Amino acid sequence: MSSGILSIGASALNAAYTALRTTGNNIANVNTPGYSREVTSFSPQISTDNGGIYIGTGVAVDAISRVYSDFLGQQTNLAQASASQADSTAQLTGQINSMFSDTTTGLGAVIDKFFTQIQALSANPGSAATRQTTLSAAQEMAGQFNNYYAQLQSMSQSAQQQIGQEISSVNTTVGQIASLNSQISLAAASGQTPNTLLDQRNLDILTLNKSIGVTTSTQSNGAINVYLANGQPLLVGNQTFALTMGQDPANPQNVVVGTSVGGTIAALDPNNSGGGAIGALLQFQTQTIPNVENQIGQLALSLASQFNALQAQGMDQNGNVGSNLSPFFATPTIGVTAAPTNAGTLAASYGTVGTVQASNYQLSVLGGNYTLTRLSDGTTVASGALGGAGTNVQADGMTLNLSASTASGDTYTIAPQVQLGAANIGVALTQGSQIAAASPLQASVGPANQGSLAVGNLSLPANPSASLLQPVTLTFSNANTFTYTIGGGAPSAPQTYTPGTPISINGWSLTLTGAASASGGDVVSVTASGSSDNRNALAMAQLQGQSVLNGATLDSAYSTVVANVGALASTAQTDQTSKDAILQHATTAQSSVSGVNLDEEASNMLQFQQQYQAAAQLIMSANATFTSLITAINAA
Amino acid sequence: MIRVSTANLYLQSEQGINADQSAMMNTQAQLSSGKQINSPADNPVGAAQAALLQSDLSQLGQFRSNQAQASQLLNNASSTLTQVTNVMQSVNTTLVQAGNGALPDSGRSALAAQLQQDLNQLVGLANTSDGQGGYLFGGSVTSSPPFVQNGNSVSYVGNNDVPSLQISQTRTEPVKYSGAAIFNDVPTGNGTYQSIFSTIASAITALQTPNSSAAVAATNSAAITSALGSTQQAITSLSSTQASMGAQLSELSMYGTVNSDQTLQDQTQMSSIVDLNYATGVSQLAQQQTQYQAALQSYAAISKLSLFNYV
Repeated sequence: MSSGILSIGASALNAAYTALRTTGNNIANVNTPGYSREVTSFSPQISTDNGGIYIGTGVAVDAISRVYSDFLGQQTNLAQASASQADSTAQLTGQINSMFSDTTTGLGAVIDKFFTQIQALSANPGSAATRQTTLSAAQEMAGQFNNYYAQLQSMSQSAQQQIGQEISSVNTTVGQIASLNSQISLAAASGQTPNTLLDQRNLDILTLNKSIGVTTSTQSNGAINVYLANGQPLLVGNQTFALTMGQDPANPQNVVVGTSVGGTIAALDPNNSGGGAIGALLQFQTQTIPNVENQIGQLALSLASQFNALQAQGMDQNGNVGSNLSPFFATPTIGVTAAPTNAGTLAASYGTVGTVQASNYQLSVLGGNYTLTRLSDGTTVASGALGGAGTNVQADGMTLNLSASTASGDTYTIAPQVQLGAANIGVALTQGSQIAAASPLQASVGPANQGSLAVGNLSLPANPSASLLQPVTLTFSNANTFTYTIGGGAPSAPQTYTPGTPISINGWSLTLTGAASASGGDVVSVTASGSSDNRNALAMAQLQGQSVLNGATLDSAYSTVVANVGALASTAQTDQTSKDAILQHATTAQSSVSGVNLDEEASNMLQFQQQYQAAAQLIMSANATFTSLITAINAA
Repeated sequence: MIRVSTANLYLQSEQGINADQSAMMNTQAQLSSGKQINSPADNPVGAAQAALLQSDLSQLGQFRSNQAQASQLLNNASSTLTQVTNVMQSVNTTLVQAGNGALPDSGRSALAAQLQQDLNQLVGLANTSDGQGGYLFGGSVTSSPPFVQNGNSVSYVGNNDVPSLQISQTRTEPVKYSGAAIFNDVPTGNGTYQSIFSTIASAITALQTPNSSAAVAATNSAAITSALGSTQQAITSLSSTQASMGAQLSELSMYGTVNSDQTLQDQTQMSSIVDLNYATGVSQLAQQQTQYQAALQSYAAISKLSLFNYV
């Protein structure tokens, strides 16, 4: 009888004590990351049949269960991967942003300064000091291009290093999850729910998502499998697959990250990597950095090519023209790799650099035709028949020359090196006097002309030779006919003069306007300019306002780079703010379910204390009952 | 009813305080630099515009300097031509005197000597330096004087290259005149050209040749008359050259005004994009300070509350 009360009291005491211990555990772990609060659940013990009346037998502790929502947990994991990626991206793009924020000595400023110096040169081409200053400004500009490239490369290197560190941290964490999997499966097999281990495993998965976004699936034995965004597993049961990093075979400058499958890396797509710091670093290293390098590379290439083209047309202070001139900047080159079995050769150079694409190309010859394919998107940019004396192909800003000995089966890989444009730009001139500020020839109408002849335009060949400087005199015998002498030689045969029609002699082409005197005697002379002529320098200065890069001027192309970098960084910052807010929401939602509230625990503590005190009272009263009974028996 | 976990409560307050603090620091950075664009991310489109305006301003600066140089060269050339005209007036006077048939040979010799001086002076003026180590009237030949005098024969060794300077985005201005065109190829009006120097030289020769016979005297007299005519035409031609120089100078002045206007416009636009409006910045800072203070105070107040204080 009283034993019934005693056992009920004992069960109540036990239950209250367990509940107090659980509450105490919750309070102790209020600040433990990843801890899910525990709740003790009770149920009444089986009532016994006492002749048709059921009497309760106390309380039993069912379980100490962990309050955790799988759904909210997954939401948090997703939000974490997203937020970590956004944080890293904001920090990485912020570095490029800082690079472009210097407006006084940055790239834009030195390009401006260079053009200002070219203008000064055109105003004073005879001054050695001005020429030297111009050369220095050119060197400073090329140096700044090189510097920007070097900084971008070092960002890329450091990103690679960071990827390496993140990868080793991922592999360590996956190892931990694997061992937790075994322990949890063992416990599950014997019917237990190891709360601490489950919390630990969830925390590990959250940590994993900070580095790389992963998806998980729970198995029937309690183990969790972990997969990357491309479907490749990192963990199946307790077998781990190591995450690793390698070189992209299609693009050796880029890295690829993934698990190793049959000797090659099953690469993660940078645009679909699942997020996390590795996702951000991958995108940064394989897309963002090459993009910026391409943009400034194209700028550098265009500058160098355009200036070199103008330099070649001019005359320097020592009277050199054409092939005797030193190029202004180091000639931008195009890399050509020929297959070993090729019969012919290929020479590649830049044409209108403004249309050059940042891609490699393949040129293949089949039968009597060639095909030029752009490898970035697979389009055929040029094709045609081979020419007997060699073939000239102009496409995407390049000029390609196949030799006459080209045969079917020849293939070439062509690499325009746009990405390296900023690294390769350099000043080839060594002295100020080598700047071809003058135009080699000038045309003037004779002083004693009776007619109204005037010089329209004198255009020079692209690569003048020294014989170009020979003086040429045109003498008109009447309004429509003239003869010419080259270098004081014998007069030519009579030529017909039509105003506006170009006259080509000795390599140059002259357009005259107006009418020659009908009575003859009018003279037009084309002679070498003085060494202080400034027309070529003027043309160089005017380059700043011409649309040389895909329809944009050099200045506007640079400002576009600035806008792009700024937009990149600014978008990343906004993204970071919003992704962080989402993570905050998810964390709050999860902790509102699983987190410990001290006030709640305090009130629970009071509640279970009362239960304990009441249970203790019950046992005292059971004891009193027994004592009364014994006393009664003894009295009888 | 929404549960709040204790740890999360502290975390959220902390994040809020951090955000407020970072916003305040950003505003402070703007106030100390005076710019609202400290990096392209602050305003990508604005930063790009500012870069273009910067290029434009530096170009305008160079054009201004070119304009100044062009003005200087043209002014120099014009004042040199004024001096040349003065000398030609003196030559004219001398030739008028020489036209007096009653002059004895000694008198004529004296006039010849006068003309000789004038010729030398003219050669000197024609070889005026341009202040940059070159010559005003030599075209693009700057290594040696454009006019070489051999006795009384003067030849032009410069060229007809007329250098120009870029004075605006769309305009290049020729800044020198060909010496040959001014001195050696003076139009005589009937389709022929004559050199000022050879005009004077022939007059000198005529005056140095004694009037030994009537025929010689007649030849000499004819030469003087012809020289006089040429001299007067030369003076007219010089004056028209100076007029076109004057026209160029006034054109330069107009371009100078346009340049100043455009520079001011660019600077104003740049300032409106890049510079911080201090009133806005200061009031923003005050607002953020208040917000930050409120966050700190509320955090302090809430964190003191706990049931354990009352149990």
